[in-house]
Amino acid sequence: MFAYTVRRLGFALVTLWLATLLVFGALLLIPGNPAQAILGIDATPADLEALEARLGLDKPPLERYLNWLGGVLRGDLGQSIRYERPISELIVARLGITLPIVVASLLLATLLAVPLGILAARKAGTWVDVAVSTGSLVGIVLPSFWVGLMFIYIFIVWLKLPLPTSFPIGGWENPQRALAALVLPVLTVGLASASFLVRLVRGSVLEVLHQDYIRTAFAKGLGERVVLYKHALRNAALPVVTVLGLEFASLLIATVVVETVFGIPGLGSLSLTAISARDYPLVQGVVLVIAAFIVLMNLLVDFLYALLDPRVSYA
Amino acid sequence: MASQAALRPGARRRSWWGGLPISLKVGAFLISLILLMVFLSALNPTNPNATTPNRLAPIFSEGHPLGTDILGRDTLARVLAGAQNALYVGLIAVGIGLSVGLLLGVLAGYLGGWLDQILSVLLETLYALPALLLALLLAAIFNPGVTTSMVAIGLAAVPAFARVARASVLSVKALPYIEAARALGMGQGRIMLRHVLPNIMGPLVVQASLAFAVAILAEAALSYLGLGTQPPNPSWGRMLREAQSYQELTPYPVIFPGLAIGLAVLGFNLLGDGLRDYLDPRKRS
Repeated sequence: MFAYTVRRLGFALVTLWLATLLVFGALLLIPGNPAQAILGIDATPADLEALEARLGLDKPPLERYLNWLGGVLRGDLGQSIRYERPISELIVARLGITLPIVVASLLLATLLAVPLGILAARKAGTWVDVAVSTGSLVGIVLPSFWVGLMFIYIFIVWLKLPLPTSFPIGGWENPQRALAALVLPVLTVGLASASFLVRLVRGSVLEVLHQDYIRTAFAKGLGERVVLYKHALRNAALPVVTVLGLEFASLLIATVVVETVFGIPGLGSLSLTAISARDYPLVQGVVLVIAAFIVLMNLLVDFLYALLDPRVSYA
Repeated sequence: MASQAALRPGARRRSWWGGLPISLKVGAFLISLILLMVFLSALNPTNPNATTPNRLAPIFSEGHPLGTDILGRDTLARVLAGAQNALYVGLIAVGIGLSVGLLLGVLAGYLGGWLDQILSVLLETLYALPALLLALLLAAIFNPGVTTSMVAIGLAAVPAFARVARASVLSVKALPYIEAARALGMGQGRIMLRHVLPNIMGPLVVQASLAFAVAILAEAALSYLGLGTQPPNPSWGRMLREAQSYQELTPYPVIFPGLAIGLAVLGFNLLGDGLRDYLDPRKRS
């Protein structure tokens, strides 16, 4: 287990390092002078020079990369040009809105998908299974932002539910309003996520139910309930836990689109503002943080897998 | 009875069609609908970008079966033209993902060794950057637009293609006929091109179909965010973005592009699933 841990950790670190190289290297591809691109064609030479010095453009790329990497290792992602504030501070503030959406959506998805998936697997081939599978397929193929727009139309325009269509300016200072603003986004992201999960839970339970030890358990005379809950689900949970971890990371970025639908100032709107303002350091910061989340979740899932399943070899 | 049926002319063809998985049939049908949309769009005399004074017309209006948007543009013409855009972006993006992924995957799987190790780490890194994230990065560097989004979606698809190609190469490589080819004195390149490549196409075609569905969804999302197809060109995602601001006035300009996206994504997903079942010898009766 020790050798496996060290190797897997080393692999994650290399991936992270390569990600910093990619994120930094990509900005070297900017055609022309980045300072000019940020300030526009009306910029005075003095302004240009000041910004070039601030971005470190007067130094060679390798020195700039090492300086930036040094900062990243200390948790300092630099200053945002648009907001004139530390980037790490901005990202942490926006994560305070995006993370609750992601966590609540995953929770909703699990609560929906696990019972429905088990039900569909137990009744495989019946109309219950067909209904659940069809529903999940619909959820998979429809784009989440369109579903969000439909929810706004159905719940707010049509049913006139008293839900706000944008996040309160003060953020979490008014928790009741903030929570109300997150109801539809969580419903949208959660249902989309549940559609993926249901398929997985169903497939995973079905596979386990066909194994010999389940037949043995039935042959011993155990009831369906005991076999299902004591024998089958424990093993069927493994792939589901894995995907839940990966889904967490991918939701972080998928939420960008849904945040735009509901006017939520999360990580998504921060990255869009960064792009339109050509705030290169901020774009770098956001992309790196999300990539790091994905790498870490992958790592966590691998460890969890090895821990939960004694059959996974560490060799 | 069975032998009588087999003697009837045409029976063989029917059983071939009957043996196909239902998802393959439905998927092929939906994709032909999308192709029909592209065809109709080419024939359609109505310019999808032409504005008319007839604004926010409801559905079933004269001359505008699906109504018009806030600029009086025909929703049907725009949805049809959007199909062309979606297929174009999907084709280029999947082309990038397939060609780069195939090359890297075959090299890693066939040659193995340190090259395999290095490529695995590189692909794992690319895997940590989903299409949307890559598109954000590329849109910041170059201008947001349809080319940037196609490249981003294509690059994001590379790791999956490479993984499938590598795994298939590894399983094919171990087969006796490759050993036979080598024993006959064939060079590495010739074995790869003539004996390995044709035998790994099945899984890659399946992956291409599934990647097409992902590409259409990603293009719609990027256009919705304003990072993909630029106005006035009709794209399903772009139409949703524009229609969102006045959706309390009329829901139709929001409803139809979304349904079109769902239809296309469903078609390619089903086709991929069906092809996988069809090509999997264990599931074939």
